[in-house]
Amino acid sequence: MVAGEPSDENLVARLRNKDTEAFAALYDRHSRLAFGLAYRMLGEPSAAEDVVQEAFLSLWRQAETFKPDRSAARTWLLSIVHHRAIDRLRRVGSREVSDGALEGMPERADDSIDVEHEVGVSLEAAQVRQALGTLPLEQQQAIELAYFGGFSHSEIAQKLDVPIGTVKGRLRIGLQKMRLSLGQAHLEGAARDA
Amino acid sequence: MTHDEVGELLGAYALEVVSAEERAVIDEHIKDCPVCAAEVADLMSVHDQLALASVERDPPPALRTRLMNLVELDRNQWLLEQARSAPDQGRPTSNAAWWKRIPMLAYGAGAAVLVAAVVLAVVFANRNSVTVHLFHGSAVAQVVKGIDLQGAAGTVGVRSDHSTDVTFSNLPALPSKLAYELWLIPAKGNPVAVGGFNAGANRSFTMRYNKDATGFAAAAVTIERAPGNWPSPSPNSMAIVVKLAS
Ligand SMILES: [Zn+2]
Repeated sequence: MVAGEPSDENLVARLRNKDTEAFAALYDRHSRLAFGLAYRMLGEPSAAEDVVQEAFLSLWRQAETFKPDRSAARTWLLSIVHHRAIDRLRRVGSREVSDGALEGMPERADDSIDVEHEVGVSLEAAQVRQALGTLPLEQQQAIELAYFGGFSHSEIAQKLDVPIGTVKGRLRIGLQKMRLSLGQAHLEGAARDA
Repeated sequence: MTHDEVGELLGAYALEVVSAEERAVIDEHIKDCPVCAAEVADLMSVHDQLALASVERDPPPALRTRLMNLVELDRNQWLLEQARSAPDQGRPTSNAAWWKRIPMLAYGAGAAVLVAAVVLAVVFANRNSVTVHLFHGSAVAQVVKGIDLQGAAGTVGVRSDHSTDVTFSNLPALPSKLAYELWLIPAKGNPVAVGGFNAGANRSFTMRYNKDATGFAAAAVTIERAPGNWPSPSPNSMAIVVKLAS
């Protein structure tokens, strides 16, 4: 976010008065990440578009229920995208792993980097990608199948042909390691800012 | 489940991939186990951050257009509801000047069959870049020959495809000899009659006009003799006006 621009929280507060310009600003700020997430999970542009539309509309309609002290507006929006995409994946029932769920650490889809926007998002995003990318492959894979693929622990066990206890262990240890390295990154960031 | 068995599941729990039964057991356990509760909080924060690991991607431009249309129409409806529930704003004071400049009042004064109602409360929303231009007005009317227009309101939204959505609501039913008529009023020149209508059982009227209303000074609904010869050559009463341009 660039200095002088309203914060997400401020924009979300304005949605309560049906401020369509605030809505447009939130869309312009977060739609690329929202669409990227939906596309990775669903592997199909039109389904991803539907999910992002639903998510932004529920942001518009449910702005009163947003509690800024509990989560950032971006986290809230992305969790709506995530849940809607999971609903879709699970509705389909028995399904193959979408390419997106296992695509690992993809390169940027295009060269048109929005520099102003990137400054705000990319540091944290890079840390998350690194934290995930440096896990042992089997932990990374289990987490991606769970988070991006929406598979249950037993489905993951079946797919990877390992006992369910192994899957549980990989998910837990993988997340714990990510937590450690992200906590570390957070502390380094705080020290640098101080 | 023991504390250790719950612990083994916490990663799957934070990633929301446990069964419903497992989730219920863990929900109960962490109420009384601060150790597991703290780990859940930690792992959930990682779960929330995982969305950032996906690559940003441009959504189709049509998605933005569609969303903006939807929220503008929703705002339109919301403004109507606000206008309906707004308290009586009393007699017009500072707002009185602008509508006197609308040419139709000259017709109203000259050819009036019915007493003009009073216009109030213009909400004017200027939109430069987005797709729907929305204007809103409401009548806090006295009486048109015994017809109470209190609370009647309207919005006019010009859409990106150059059609115009017109909505008026809270319109009282009229005696059989009278009907409503919709007008577009240019800054100069005669009002353009769009058509006559009766308020339905829900006391509202909605239409999509297949022309762009941009450039007109106002939209208005008047009360005219009916059925008569539509369109009326000129408006005979001013009932509800939606100002279209600043
Ligand atoms: Zn415990």
